[in-house]
Amino acid sequence: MIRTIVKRLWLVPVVLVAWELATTAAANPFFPPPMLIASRMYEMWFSGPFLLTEEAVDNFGPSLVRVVGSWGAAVVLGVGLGVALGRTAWLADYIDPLVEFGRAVPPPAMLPVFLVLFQMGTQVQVATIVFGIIWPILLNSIDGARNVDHLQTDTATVFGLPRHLRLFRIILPAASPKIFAGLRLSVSLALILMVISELKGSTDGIGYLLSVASSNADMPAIWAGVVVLGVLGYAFNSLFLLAERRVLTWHRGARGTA
Amino acid sequence: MRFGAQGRTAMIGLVVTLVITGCSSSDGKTTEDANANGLEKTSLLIGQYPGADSAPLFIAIERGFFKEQGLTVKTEAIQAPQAVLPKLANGSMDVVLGSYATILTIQSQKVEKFKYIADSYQGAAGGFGVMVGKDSPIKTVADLKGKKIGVNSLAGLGVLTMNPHLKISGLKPPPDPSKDVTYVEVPTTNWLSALEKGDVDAVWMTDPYVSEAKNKLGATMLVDTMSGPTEALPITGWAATEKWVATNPKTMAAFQRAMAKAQNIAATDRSAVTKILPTFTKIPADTAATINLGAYPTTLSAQRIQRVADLMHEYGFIKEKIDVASMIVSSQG
Amino acid sequence: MTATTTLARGERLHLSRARLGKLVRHVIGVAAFLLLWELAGRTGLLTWLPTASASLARAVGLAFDPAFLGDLLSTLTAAAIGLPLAVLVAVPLGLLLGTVPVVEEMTRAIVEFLRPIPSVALIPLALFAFQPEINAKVALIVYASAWPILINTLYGVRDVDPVATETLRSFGFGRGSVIMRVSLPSAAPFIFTGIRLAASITLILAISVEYFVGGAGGIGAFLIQASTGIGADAMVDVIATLMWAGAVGLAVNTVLLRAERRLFRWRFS
Repeated sequence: MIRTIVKRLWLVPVVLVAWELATTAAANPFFPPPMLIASRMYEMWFSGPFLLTEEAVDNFGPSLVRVVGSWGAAVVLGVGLGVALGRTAWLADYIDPLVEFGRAVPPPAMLPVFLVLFQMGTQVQVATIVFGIIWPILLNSIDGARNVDHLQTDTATVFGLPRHLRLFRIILPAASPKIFAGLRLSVSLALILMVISELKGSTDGIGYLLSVASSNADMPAIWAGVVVLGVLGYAFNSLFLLAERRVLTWHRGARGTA
Repeated sequence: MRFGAQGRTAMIGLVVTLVITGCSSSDGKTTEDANANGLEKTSLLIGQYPGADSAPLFIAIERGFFKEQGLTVKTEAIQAPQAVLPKLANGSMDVVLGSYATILTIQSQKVEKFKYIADSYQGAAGGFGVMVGKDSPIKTVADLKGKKIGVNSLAGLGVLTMNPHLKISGLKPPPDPSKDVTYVEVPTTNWLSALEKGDVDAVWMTDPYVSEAKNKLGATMLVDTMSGPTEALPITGWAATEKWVATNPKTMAAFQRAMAKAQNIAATDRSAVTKILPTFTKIPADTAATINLGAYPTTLSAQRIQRVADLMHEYGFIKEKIDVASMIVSSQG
Repeated sequence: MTATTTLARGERLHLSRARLGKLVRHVIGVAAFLLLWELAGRTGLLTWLPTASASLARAVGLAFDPAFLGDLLSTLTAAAIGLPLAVLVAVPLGLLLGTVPVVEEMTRAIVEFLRPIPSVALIPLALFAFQPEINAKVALIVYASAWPILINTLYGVRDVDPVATETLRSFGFGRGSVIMRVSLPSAAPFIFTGIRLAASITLILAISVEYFVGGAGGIGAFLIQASTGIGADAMVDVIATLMWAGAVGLAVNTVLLRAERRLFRWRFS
């Protein structure tokens, strides 16, 4: 146990020390040393009565709710739509160009459009996040569902397996490695989009804090936000990998790659 | 090796490109020759926010004032000076048009040291204010208590000029913990829609948005933020880094001379400004013709700008007082 | 190649008819979307969004606007330099991490920490570190678009049929040649999907950087200019520009998809 932790994390302190040495030597206001960033983070967010300060609670909370909720919505929408499109060739033909089109539109530039379409605040934020992260989920789900082994589906048809069973027993498991690759991409994208959605028209959130920090040209505070995002991203990804391992055990077991 | 028709076209294209670039590099030499008045550099990259503030710059370009000084000027549209701060710091951008509030904020954070080299734009009545919708229950500034106000930037001119008016009406603006009002950053493209949809209760606007909100939405100006305590407040000026000013004194003087000429035109001939506006913004000519403009000061005065710095200190934008006189490099003729 | 040349004429006719049907369905899908949008605008459901027809007309107008075309070219240039670089960085790294679990475990913490950091937040740093702006843009593009390629390579290599690698191993092939003969080819479709995902990210990132920083050119800088218009006018320009961004993405993706189909025909048969 301890050995694996050491093996996994020994590089982290090495990088941190190198970073501290390099930034102290450079003495460039754009690159504050990690110690300064850490003390700034403590002062702003972690010096409260129960660890977190009021500023941290008021901003991290709404951000987390937004990102988790929107990610859930995007997964349901993306996988549902993706599998449907992957299994129904004619439907895919109608939708495909729109999907490819939407995917190529830069989400930050969509913000003014969403601000017009939706109520400023939660609506705009959810729309921005879902719009920004649904594409890898959708694309991978389509691909995964489309390329299910014909032998398997044909066998299922021959044996008269009912539709819902075919979906849950054959198509979804077979498409799952690809779907999960898409989900994993979307997890870290979700954080990025969360920030973007909070830059404008928001009154709280990590993105809002970053926006305040950058309009104040407060470099350590910007870096503090970046570090929090990195830590959150790491946490989300670890949780995701845990879930993925559970779900994909069956698949890997069947292919003998566990 | 065999070339198809396409390959041949590509080869010809390549040769033509080489010839052309060869010519342009010899052009480069002639500009160096023209640099007889000892300028440290002849081509400048200038960051500007496309709007009435930068009209004199485009007048100067259009009328060849920079060319007279031996300068070649390229402009870049920017959203805010913070975004191009790294380019100013590493020298890839020379001069930037920035709101005084923004430049002073950066100065106080000690990220970069700036000098003002020319004034550009100053507030005047009618063009800047807090707008409320047609049937808004908000009739006085005091009614803004507990409301959301849209602004262009959370630490910009809008917030800075609104705060004294809120204070007069007994409200405590942020960062005061009482949260009497909440400022929300709204992009200019969404100012009108945000007000109409009721996303925010009021929006701080500048003209031509002010007039557009009045005409299209029947909105009214709750308070003119260039009146009373904030009357004729300086808005934007030309800034360069301390390092740039020290290494390019002659270039800076040439820039100042060119801008002074244009600034004089902008200050005295309103139509020169309204005519140039549609050429570098998307403001239509008829809207530009009736725009409520600010003023174009022809001198760079530490006293005037000191008001901005003091206001910023009073409302917690900057932690320590800044002596603006130390940041001024006025024209050396 | 031989497969297509030996197709009977009837079959070829059938194929082209199928392709035509597909194209018609594509067009119907897009037309239906535009019609819905237009109707929503006409009936007053969308008050602040310009109608589909107005946006389309403006988008067509942009095609004859030399200023816009120049901006488009500079965005595409940055994307075209960034994508191949991202592939060069990400594929070898993905192969390494996918085939040598020890390295993957060691670097996982750093990789997962870096990945969610928004490239938007890194813009100031890139601008400072890379002098000409195009280099900063390219650096950010490489950073952001390398991730999907890396992750897809990683997943692709892991998904390789173990029987195949074991078989080759037992025939005495070394690790390197097993990677080149089995892992890389069988992960190739995954990798290519990653590249396709990355291609749109490169465009998105180029535009975002230009939009946040301003800068000498690019579609993003054009958007800043567009947003100086007032209300609905500004929206028309913004949406027309976004339509171009979408169209360019669509075109790039179609080309890549064609290539993918051709390269991995065995998977699509």
